[in-house]
Amino acid sequence: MLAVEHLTVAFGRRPPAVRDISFAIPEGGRLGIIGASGSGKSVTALAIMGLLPEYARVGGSVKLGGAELVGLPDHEYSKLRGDALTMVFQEPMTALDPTMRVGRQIAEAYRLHAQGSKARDEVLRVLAAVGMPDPARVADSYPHELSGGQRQRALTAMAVINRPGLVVFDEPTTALDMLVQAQVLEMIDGLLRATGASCLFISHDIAVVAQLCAHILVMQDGQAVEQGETGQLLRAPRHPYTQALVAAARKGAVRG
Amino acid sequence: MAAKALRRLGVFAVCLLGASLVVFLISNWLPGDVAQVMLGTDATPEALARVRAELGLDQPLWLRYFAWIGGLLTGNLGTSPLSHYPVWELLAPRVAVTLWLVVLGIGLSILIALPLGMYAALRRRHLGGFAVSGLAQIGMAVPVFWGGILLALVFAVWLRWLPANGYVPLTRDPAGWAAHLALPVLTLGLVQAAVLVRYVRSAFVEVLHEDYLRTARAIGWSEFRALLRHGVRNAAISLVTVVGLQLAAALVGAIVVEQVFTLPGIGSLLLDAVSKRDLVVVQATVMLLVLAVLAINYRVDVSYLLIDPRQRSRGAAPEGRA
Ligand SMILES: Nc1ncnc2c1ncn2[C@@H]1O[C@H](COP(=O)(O)OP(=O)(O)O)[C@@H](O)[C@H]1O
Ligand SMILES: [Mg+2]
Repeated sequence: MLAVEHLTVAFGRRPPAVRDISFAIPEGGRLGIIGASGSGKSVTALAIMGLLPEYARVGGSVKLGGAELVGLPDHEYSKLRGDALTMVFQEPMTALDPTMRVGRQIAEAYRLHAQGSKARDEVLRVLAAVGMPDPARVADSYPHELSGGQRQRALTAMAVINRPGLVVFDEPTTALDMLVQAQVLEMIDGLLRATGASCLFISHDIAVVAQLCAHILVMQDGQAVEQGETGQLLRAPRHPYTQALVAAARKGAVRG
Repeated sequence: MAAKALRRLGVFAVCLLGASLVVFLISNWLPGDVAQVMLGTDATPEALARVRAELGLDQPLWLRYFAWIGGLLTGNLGTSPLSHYPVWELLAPRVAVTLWLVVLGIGLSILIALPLGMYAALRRRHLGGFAVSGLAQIGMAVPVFWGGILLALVFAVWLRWLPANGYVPLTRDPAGWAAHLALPVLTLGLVQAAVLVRYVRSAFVEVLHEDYLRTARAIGWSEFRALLRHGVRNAAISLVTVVGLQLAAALVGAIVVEQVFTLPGIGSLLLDAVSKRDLVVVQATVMLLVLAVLAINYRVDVSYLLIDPRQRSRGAAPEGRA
């Protein structure tokens, strides 16, 4: 489904923010990326989405269903975004246009890639699918009238309305409090299961990733230091950084 | 929302009252008076006193202020002691000229500045973006007066395409009206656009960094379409203030432009009245300008409520921009 090979991203003359990263996600598979803040997780995700600023230099290869994405002109790329692959960002508070009703923004995602007049029905359907108890009310609300958790659900709805093959989540629950975070993760899990979409899930929290993903890739300073099957990696981490992460997560879990 | 609009209306009324006091005091502080102008420099003190008494100029200042305000409130702007015309009749045709100039000038400046500013924002790391910003800088440095003379030289003297002075009312001769307004409107429009481009550019640069624009691209908008769809309204929230200020500046600019192209607008009326100490006309004209500027600001405040849903809802989290 998604094959990333030797991906390298550099900004200006600074050392590359992402260096020689390779991974693959099969049809319906889920890969989690963990790493400290600044380790290059978001840059990796944006490189896959083709959303890096124009001054970023991207090397290596990103293939979606066999087609090369690196170097694709923006007008071609934008046809794929929202349809074949989409992304849900970290900051639910600012990721929606404050001047437009939520339903209209979600309908936009639909109309950009599909013909037909049933956008409203689709919006209500997908809002129900992300666990909104009152889809019609949410659709008619402005972003500032919704809670953080509701906004993140709305953004997820926007991302999956066209049933994309790949959804990239960049720390979707980091800005939410614990209880809401658990609910949103559960929703994402169910949604991916129902649609069979592949998923790249980014978090700095190994426990969150482990809950959702069968495979994990660990990043440090722009490089992939270890990757493997989740159970294996948690049981026997090989790289010292992964060992530290796992140990810290264990401690946190014991404490509560 | 109604309460907010009402409170702003109250502020508006208080401002207007304060302004009337300032206008009245300043114009009465001018040395010399209209009696002197009417009778000439060799008038006897007795004759001067008689005319002043006739015009009510011998009354105490505060009484004259209240008489004037009372007149304004009942819609009576007074009569010019020099021309014996009611001030309203002097003002009306002049207001029409200035209004056309300002409205068309601002309209033109927006038509020029909006696409150029957006272009400069999108291409801010490229030569084209720098070129637009640089050109605007140069344009800003050109005084209105100079800009007008330059355009008159090129289009009226050299190319002989357009008249450089005078005015014809729209109702009498539409083509002549357009020809006579073309250069003044172009002057005002270009000068205002040079200032506006910078604000448009920075408003859109700011919007380009917003998360919701990245979201818009993630669902399939191209960068330019995302900016049109989700950038314009959000940029407008900060630009409404600027355009409001520009409108006020354009009123002042219009007075200069009227001088360059000898348009019979309120600018020439005002300057003429000041030199003749025709305070009735001066005060009415300045109050009209003040009213216009205050009304623009009031409209600006209210249009926030229309554009920005966060400002509309009461009791919402205070996260909207100020
Ligand atoms: N647009 C950009 N321009 C320059 N440097 C960037 C840009 N985006 C990210 N970086 C740099 O790349 C590195 C990785 O950032 P990022 O991928 O956002 O980290 P994270 O793992 O926390 O998501 C950081 O050092 C950051 O400063
Ligand atoms: Mg990040």
